[in-house]
Amino acid sequence: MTRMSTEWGDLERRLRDLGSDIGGAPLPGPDAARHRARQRTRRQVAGAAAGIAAAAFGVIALGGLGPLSTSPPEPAHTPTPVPSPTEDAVEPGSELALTVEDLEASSGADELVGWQQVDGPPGEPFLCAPAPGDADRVIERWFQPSPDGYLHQIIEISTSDAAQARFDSVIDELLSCVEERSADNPDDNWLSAVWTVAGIGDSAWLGEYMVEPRSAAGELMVVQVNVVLAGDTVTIITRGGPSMEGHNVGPLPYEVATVAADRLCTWAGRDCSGEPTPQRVYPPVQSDAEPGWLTVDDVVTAMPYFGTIGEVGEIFDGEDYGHICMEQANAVAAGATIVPRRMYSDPLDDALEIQFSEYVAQFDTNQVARAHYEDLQAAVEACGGDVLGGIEDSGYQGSAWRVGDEFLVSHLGAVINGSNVAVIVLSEPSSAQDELPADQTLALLDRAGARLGDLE
Amino acid sequence: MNYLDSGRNQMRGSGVLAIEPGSPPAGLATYQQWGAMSSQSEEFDAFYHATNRRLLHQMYAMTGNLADAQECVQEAYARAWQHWKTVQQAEDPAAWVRTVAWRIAASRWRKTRNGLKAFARQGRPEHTQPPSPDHVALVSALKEISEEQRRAIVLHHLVGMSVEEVAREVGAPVGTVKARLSRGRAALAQILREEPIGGDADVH
Repeated sequence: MTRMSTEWGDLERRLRDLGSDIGGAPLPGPDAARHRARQRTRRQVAGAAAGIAAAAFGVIALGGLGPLSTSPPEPAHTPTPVPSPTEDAVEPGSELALTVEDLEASSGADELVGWQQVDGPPGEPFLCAPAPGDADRVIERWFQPSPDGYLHQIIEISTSDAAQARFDSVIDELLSCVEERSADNPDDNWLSAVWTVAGIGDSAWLGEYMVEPRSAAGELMVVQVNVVLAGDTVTIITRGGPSMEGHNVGPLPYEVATVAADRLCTWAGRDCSGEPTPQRVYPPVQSDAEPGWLTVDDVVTAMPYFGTIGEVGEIFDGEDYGHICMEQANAVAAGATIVPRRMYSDPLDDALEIQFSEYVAQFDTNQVARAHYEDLQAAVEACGGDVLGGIEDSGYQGSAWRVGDEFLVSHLGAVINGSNVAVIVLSEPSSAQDELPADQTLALLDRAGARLGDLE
Repeated sequence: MNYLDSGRNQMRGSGVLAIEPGSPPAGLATYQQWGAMSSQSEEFDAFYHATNRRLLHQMYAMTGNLADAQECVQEAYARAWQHWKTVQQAEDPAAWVRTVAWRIAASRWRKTRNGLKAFARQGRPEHTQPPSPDHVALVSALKEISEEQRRAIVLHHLVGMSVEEVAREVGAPVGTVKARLSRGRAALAQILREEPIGGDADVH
């Protein structure tokens, strides 16, 4: 540690003084942290065993869940037959609905907010939030995790056809409502994300939107609405609260929806295992190819370790490669005008566990590019990088290294193709259970080298 | 162990836990297993109690919202417990927690299309007492600079890390950190000059 500068003493004093604000807001303690960790571990194990996977923003898996009857499970990915109302139908009961224990066990938020079952929403419902329809049977539950937030579960049971129509109408009405509000007041109302799950169960949909506060002095509300079609039921889970995404509704909002689905499966005696294929439909995933740059398809194909990567950022100008081990090989000093960078990310990666950027530096001549490439190699090796391997093709040549410290493990790769050099930087926390696979990094570097050929 | 003195090498050389008479808990076959787990829990407890307030303070400055800082830091501690064997061997376990907490916060901002807008509009932190006008002004100003600038400023000027240490923690070149500090401080100074103390209408 070094002494703080005196030049910025006032700023430092003011930053230190902020500490007085936390006096009345202690953290819940180490026991609560361990409890949260244990719950996550249990969920991970249970999820793997049951094949129930879930994605961020409440995308849920309902593989093979047919109508809520006691008939044998349908194979996954097959259409759900229309149930006969008199055939083996089981009268649904309250065991279908979420409980406080479900929420505490699944959301991880119990240490901070504490769930309570309540009779209705605290104050007015969130704007645009779905209300119960006119199904044959409706079960409702309200829960309150904080003074300003709530979770509302609606289970509607009718027939398959009616449920399908209701599923569609809930989504249509929600989107229309948010759109109308956004048209009137775009600063305070907007749709932030929409996800679907294709190829599993019946249908699952999640929308997240920001909306005006429920009181004049309040903060904007973030609301997540999960709609699940399962045989002859539609389940709607609306949860939200003040300020940013996830705030006061728990760090892992999809897990509540997963628990709700589990209850339906258990009640129906159905096998809910299945592989979800979550897909974000809004904002649309950008995968447009730019000459010289890796595409999303390149990344998904070469590096399945990434999972569901689907985000490709804008290409923006930079002046360095953004990694400390490449600082000594400055492309701009070597003759490149800029070092444009593009970030690729997995939209389902809840905590930016894996970060990946590509940089492309263009030089005037092959010789200058070659000299810079060799500088890069020397810089990374001087930084202690362990060589992962190399690639070579008729048009390009590259090397990759592994560097790591207590925070991050990074794979760095550099490839030269004519007068252009591409650098890839992949990082994940040192605590990650699996290590970035070297062969996949090399495969990715190989594609980067090939893509550089577009610039020649 | 004293976690307050230094962030370095705090978790090494742990003491031996005295095991009370009785049977080990279910699932643990031997007293040795029980003792090892209890010892780890005690170490984690000590680490938590020694570091949680300053980490919360730091994340509060980085996020500008006390409730979000609470959530991110608590989540980071949960992850630290999941990886405790690794974390306790880290050179600076508190830095590990801070880094994870930051990553969680940054992820949330980026999740929504208008994440930064949402962040800027969060309003005042949740307090048992109203924040002072000076705090309101500073938090409002911090929200107006980029997240990476804010992180660099907090690490350098609140945590007290050198530029090189900041560069190491955030994984960026020293020159990049210098630029973030320089630009962030200039922007902060400008904002704080323009807005009278407590004058941000967006923060009540």
